[in-house]
Amino acid sequence: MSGSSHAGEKVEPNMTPILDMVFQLITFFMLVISFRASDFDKALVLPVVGSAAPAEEEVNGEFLILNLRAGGKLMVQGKEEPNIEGFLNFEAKKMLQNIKPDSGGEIIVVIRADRALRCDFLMRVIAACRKGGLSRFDFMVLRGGEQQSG
Amino acid sequence: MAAMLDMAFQLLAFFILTFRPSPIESQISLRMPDKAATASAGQSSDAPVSESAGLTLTVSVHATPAGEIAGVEVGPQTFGAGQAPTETINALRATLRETLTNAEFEGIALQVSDDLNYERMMQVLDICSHQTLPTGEPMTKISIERLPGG
Repeated sequence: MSGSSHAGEKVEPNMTPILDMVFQLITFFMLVISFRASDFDKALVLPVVGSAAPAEEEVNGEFLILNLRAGGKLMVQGKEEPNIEGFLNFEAKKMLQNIKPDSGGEIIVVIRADRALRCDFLMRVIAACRKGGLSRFDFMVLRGGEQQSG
Repeated sequence: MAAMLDMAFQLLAFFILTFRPSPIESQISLRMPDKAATASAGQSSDAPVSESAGLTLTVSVHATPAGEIAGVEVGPQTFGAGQAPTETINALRATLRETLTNAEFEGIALQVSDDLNYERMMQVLDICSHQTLPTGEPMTKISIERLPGG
């Protein structure tokens, strides 16, 4: 009977290329994924400014990231903070207590605000931060020519 | 094999469709005077730089109810009324350069109207932060405060 000579032999597909591809995909997405993404409010449209410096990667300090929506809402890690002054005062004190004085580090307030935000709300947030003892601010913007999608 | 290929292509399609690369953000860094603000929120809280440093140039930015620049005062000079925002910003750049070259100012106190939108404020702040002192050093002493009277 034809084929009877192959009886009992196992035919296994060559899995190596597809495994390579799957692992490369997994590696790529692991490298691309940002676990700090929840700090950044995707609903914001940042202002476009001509010549701001690229964001520094290595900064000796801790960050307090504040997202300010156009309607005058403070968003922190995806949640709205209704008590702005109370929250910022508490956070500032907590961070200043926890930072090591001999490390040379500082607390940097990172402000990510919508381009349509009114300045009175921004000044309210800055005043609350300064009242808590924070003096270093980084205002996040997009450089001219770069437009934010979605 | 077919099942695994199906899964790999479905994964690939999912990641391609949901992938949204974030725009590269830039920053404008500002260190406000260390003195803690004592005024309550809603009032002008940032002490002008002149209190702790040398001569300060005051730049006042007035706004329309829509948040656009209605006019700018640089020391005694006023301009921008009735002009397009882009023209006003260009005029501000030239005026600041000329003023800071001809006088020994050590800092800028930026006063902004409550109605001004954040994007315009950042454009003005960007211009201020790119000025140089007569000595050739970059302008670092910049404070932001509310325009008296809003």
